[in-house]
Amino acid sequence: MNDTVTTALRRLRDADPATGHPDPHEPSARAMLDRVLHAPDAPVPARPRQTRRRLVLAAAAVAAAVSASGLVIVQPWSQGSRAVAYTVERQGDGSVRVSVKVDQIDDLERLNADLARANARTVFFEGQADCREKLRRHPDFVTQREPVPVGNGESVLNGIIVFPDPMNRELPFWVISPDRIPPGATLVVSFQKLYPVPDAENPNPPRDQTGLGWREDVVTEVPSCVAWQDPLAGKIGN
Amino acid sequence: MPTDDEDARERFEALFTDHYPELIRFAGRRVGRDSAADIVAGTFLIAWRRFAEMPADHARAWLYATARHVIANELRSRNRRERLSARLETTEAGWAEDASGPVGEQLRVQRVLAGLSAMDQEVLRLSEWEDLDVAEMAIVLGCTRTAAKVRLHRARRRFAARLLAAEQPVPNQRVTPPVVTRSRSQA
Repeated sequence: MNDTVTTALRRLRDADPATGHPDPHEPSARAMLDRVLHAPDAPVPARPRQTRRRLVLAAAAVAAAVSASGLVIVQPWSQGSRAVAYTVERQGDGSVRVSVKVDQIDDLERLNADLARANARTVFFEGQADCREKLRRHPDFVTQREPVPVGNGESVLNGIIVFPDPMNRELPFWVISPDRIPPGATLVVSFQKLYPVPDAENPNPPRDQTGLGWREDVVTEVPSCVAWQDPLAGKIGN
Repeated sequence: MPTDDEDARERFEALFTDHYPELIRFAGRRVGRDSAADIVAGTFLIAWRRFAEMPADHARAWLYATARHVIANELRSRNRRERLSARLETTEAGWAEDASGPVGEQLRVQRVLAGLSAMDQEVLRLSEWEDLDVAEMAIVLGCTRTAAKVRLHRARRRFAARLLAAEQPVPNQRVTPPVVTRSRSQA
């Protein structure tokens, strides 16, 4: 850091708007603690884990597929507990196994935090139609191929991310190999939920037939959003 | 010998004591002093409910990430536009009135910070005001350590450049309008 930056940061620290030093022993703080501990629906928890979170594996729906921007659809899956909408698990060989419950993947901050803890070098985004940001793809991964549906491909991105058994709907999962991601790059996995399209035969398709379109990109800079146009929209349930 | 319940409560009380002050300050910066206690209470309530899931080695970052989420929910539940405009008006007034003293310096720096992108502001606040390290920031932001490090490095450079540029001898009409008028007429 040069002098200009050092000085600027010192001034920034001095400009901290926070004042005072709240005392955790003052009556209002102790009252807050008491309210938290005696909240009616707060169960007494067990001992916190000492190592990386290993969420209980749940029946999950995930898809995988193909190409530098592969797309995958996950087909109908059963509803389950929202507490296990995904799992992140670091494996002995350094790879990271991820499974996601299609219709319940809402808490991306939590998922991404777990991926960061697992050193997966991977960030998940929900695709946004109004995102104008262009992905800065790594030079080795600039080519895009046509989406390939589940079952037509098993490996994507030079082995960085694979879906070992795309037809296994009992326990589908991805395996990410962070050590194959080029230095300084990040794997971005973006997705969009795809809902069944009502038609004459099935005017009210059930929500549990939610599918998911996936895309993977290796980028040199993590974006703030990922633009998404769903070429597979409408294919679920048809 | 304490039971499991008592043991958990004792450990949670220690967690509360350790992090209550910084979380109050963190929330106060973002939602104001009046709402900070509500944010922190909500954060610790979630922490208590999910105490078993909390990573013991990253409890601080976990609390910040949760507090950030609670703040986002709080802000969403209010009329955001009205609050932002009210806050901006306050800032503008303070900047114009106190630009020469210590308060003016603080507002000047905060103004430069506010001119950066949301992500730049966030990493700088987490680093310089909350004193989070890169690993903690990565957890709070939900990104890799490498990404957090790169973001912080770039944000620091951009902030320093903006601060420097803001203090070049260019007349600032808003701060001292009479001086600006004179220098233009002289030119």
